Amino acid sequence: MNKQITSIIGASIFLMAQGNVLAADSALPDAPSWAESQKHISYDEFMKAARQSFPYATPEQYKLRVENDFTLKTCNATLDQPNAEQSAAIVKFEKARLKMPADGKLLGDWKNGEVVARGTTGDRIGFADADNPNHPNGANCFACHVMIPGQPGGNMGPSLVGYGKRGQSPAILKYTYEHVYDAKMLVPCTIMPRYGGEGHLLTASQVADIVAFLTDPQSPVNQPEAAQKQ
Amino acid sequence: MRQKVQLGLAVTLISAAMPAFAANPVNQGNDAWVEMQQRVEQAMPPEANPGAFTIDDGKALFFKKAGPNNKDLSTCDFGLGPGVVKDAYAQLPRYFPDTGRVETLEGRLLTCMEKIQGFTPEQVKEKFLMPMYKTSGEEDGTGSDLVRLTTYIAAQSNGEPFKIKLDNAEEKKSYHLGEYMFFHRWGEMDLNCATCHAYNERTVRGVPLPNLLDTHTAGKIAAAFPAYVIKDGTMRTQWWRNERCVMAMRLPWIETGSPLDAALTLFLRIQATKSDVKINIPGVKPRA
Repeated sequence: MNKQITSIIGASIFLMAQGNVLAADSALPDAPSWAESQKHISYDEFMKAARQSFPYATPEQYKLRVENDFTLKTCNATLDQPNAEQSAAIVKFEKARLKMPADGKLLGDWKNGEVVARGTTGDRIGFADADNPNHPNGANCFACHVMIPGQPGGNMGPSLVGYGKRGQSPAILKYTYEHVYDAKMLVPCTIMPRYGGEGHLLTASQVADIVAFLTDPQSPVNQPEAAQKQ
Repeated sequence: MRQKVQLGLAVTLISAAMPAFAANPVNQGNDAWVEMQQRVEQAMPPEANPGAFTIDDGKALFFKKAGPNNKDLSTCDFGLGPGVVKDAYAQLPRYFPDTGRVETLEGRLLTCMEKIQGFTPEQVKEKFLMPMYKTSGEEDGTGSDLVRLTTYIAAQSNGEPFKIKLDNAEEKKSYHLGEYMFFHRWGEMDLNCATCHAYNERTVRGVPLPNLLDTHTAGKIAAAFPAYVIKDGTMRTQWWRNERCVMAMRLPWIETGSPLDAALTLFLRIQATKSDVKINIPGVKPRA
């Protein structure tokens, strides 16, 4: 009987060994991993491949829109897990980028804010009809957030329906403005895009308009579904 | 009883050895997207898919003499020898020693237009690539000869799963370049591919997003392209799918068959190779 068990175990070990040989012959990589990819490819190698792959971008566009700035370099290198020191450095870097609207008012026009929030275009590179400076960029908020009751939105960010219940105190307006202009100033490496400033989609005044769209009691963000115009 | 225990032990030991080479064909929970895709496939079954005409158009183009050398493309080597088209798509992208590059099917067709038909790179760009980036408009249903050719060759792998071996250093490097691109955050939106495509049940504007780390989902995507895109009313290739995401991230237009296009496509098709989904050209996609 013991002999039988030994032979079964022996056969199993043989099968295991054979399985490993088969696996080695047709080895596909393990499940994809951000950390693993960085062991094989450096940032400079990647950017070299990018320059070969994006033939119609200008040097300025590379610098501003393709190369990583300090914040994204840190986020990529730390797999979005910066330590306390790195987080503080990102916050410092981003605070220096923050610009207020020329008139100093953080609360703009909510109707224009809705147009900006719905807009999906702007800053596309390499198309004959892209980058029309006469057409303001959009922020495409609806892609990731539910913005208006009963209207399609995404789930990559939280629902912003009823955002205005927080009121329009200076502290709320400041927080909202900063979050839309530069979310990474508040949450380093957040998946929320930075919208304000050079190399990003929106002007300071457009951000102020979005602040109004989010906080104004008359905005559809803060109206019950029944009140929405069809 | 004791025999059962022994059998159980043996099965346990054998199955412990299995996962090393077992494919992962089952959907891992990316249900909302899979259900949406199934509804689309039911709404447009293969016999109703207008992409079938594109296969015929592509075949005619493939055997049509063209270019300064007045030659057709029937001697083009897609990796299995000159003129062998059956099963070629199932093993692309792959490394080609004659160009020293990892090439996609679209990229390889462009190479053959230069090497066999004698077009200059500038002519290839003007004739086959310009129509593809003249406008960012999603409504643009203009077909292109490159898409027609790609669809014809790809359809010759119908019924086969993707089976890329990744058995040389150049392809491994390209795979990791694609893996890096999938996770690398860049562009003015601070996004990477993983933001939208590495999680189950994510939606954009209410539309379910495919999780490309789910091998079944990756297989369904890879095996559908070139696909008839209902919104556009025309056939689109995997390059187009890559470009739509790259553009949404506000990165520059990505050249067809370029190193990053090939790397990202290879990365996706390795996930597809881990599934048992079979190539089914023309596939059908609702809008993207």
